[in-house]
Amino acid sequence: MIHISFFKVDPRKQRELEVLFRSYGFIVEEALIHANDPQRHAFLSKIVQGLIAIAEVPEALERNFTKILYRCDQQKQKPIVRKYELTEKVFEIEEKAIEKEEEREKTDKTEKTLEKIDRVEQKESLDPPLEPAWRDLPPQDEQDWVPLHVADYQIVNDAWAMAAASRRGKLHAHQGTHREDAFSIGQEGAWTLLAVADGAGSCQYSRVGAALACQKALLHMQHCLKDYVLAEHDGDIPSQNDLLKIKSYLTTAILEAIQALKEEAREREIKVEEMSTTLLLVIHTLWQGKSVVASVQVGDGTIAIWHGGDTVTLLGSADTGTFASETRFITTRQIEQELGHRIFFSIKKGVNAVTAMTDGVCDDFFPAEKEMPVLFQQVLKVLKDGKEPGEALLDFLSYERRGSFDDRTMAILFRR
Amino acid sequence: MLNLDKMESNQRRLPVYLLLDTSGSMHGQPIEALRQGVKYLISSLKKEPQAIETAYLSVITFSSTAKQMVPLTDLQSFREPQLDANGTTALGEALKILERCLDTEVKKSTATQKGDYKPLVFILTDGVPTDSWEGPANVIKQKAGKLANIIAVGCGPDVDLNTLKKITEIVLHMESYQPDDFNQFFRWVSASVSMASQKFTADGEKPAQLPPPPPTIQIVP
Repeated sequence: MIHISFFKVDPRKQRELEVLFRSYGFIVEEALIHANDPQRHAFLSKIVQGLIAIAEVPEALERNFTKILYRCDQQKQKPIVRKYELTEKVFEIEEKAIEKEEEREKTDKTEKTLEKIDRVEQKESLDPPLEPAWRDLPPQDEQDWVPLHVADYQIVNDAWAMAAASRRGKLHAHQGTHREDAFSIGQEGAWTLLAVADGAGSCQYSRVGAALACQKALLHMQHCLKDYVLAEHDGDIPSQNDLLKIKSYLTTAILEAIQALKEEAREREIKVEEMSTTLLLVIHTLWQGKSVVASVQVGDGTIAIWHGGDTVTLLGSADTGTFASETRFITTRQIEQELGHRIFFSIKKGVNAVTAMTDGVCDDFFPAEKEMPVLFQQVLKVLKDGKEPGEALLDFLSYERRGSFDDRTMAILFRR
Repeated sequence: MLNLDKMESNQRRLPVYLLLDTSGSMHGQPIEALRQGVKYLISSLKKEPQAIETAYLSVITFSSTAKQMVPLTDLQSFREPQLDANGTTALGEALKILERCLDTEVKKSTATQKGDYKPLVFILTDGVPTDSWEGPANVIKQKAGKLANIIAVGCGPDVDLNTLKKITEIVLHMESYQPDDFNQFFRWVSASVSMASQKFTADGEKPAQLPPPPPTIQIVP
């Protein structure tokens, strides 16, 4: 016999479900989540108001249910309902589940009693469940207008293509402010170039800074890499001479971006810090059958290379402090002296994709070692879905996640 | 549309600590105003989607002793604590509790963990501390700016603003403490919470970007 922790407010439906479960030989109990579950109050309040019906079943049994009629879902304005249909197979694994359940029943007995008392106490003081009412307002500031969302797609050759997209985050939409992320993508001969930037939320002109930094850094790289071909030789990696040159190009690209911001600030008669932005730049070319990837990064965000499956190389490291949203910008004083340490190379065969993204995306795929492959798999799937890849990426970046409301920007070079 | 809510949560929280003076001098109208103020703060935060998704509140009160009345709790689960005014002003003890909370309750960034947003701490007092507070104040001041954005608000004519300056650089003075003053103060707290997830530079040169305080509250230079 299996114990099912079961809770329901609507008496009629409760009886229906009870009968259903009983017909399968279950014991139906009025007991729910553990006393130490942090979601308990939110949960209880919904139950008290009749918004939730929940049938808690042992996890091992869950996969024997033919289909889940309603999922336990925290999405906006949807009542949380979880209801199952059972298959015939349900009794086959009964015994295993019994042991586990019974064990839990024992240890939880005290908790459950407490839980019931707690529930009675809470009943009167519970508030309605909090649903964030995000607004979607157009930017109030008509100066330096940036489109809410923007996407780009460029075919490099038969093997490679580039896509990039940038979305205004929910917080900016709520406040009626502009997107402060930016990207630029481009090509120069056999080189492909990706730049993304995240303007500092606290600065009035950061959207100007972010866009300008991307454009200037990319233009500078295109200028440097014009007719530039890595020398062929017998070694495993390009010559020292070539690598040093690339390194200096990447360094000067950041310096050029800083310079452009300073000039822009002078013209506007504002402090350059008002245009604070991060900047991530990554370039790619093929050399003797290998992918040569070089990058420079100031601030948070992630540059990553995907080798297929679960294999991801992270290039460089994000500037994150002790707390979330603590970072560095290209306008941070004396950042120039640190640039040498911020340049990274990867020279490997079998590269499937190279990407640069702002923290609005990579923070949702953390820790990177575990989640970046998931991101690559999902993104590559949408890129190859048949839709225009830039728009497809833009769509992808609209995923929902609680606590994630930053602008989201991603630029990716991928095998077509 | 993709829903990533089920991914292992590394949710960033914005911890907000309220250190509230509940000593005898707050008896009567002030404590009632404070109660209303806390209620007001909660209800205005509950209107802010960003606060709903990130803000976690804790209340530490101090009178003859200090106590963390509410541990760091999300808005949905937050219950206003019972605030009663009596006894002396154990600010030092409250600061010790704060230090411990910043240490144990607030998540710092590591390779496998997303750090919380930098905590906001509001200290509200109307008197002169009666316990030994210099030591704890010094510890907090050394850490302030690194571990949290600490804002001390002295209210009424009897508050010792010099004491507060030894806890943090950001000291505000609220001369009267009528219910409306408290409401304005807590409205400002709510606005500060909305700004606290903005990016800032890690060199710690300037404190958090805070909205300008209401006209009834002066910044103590």
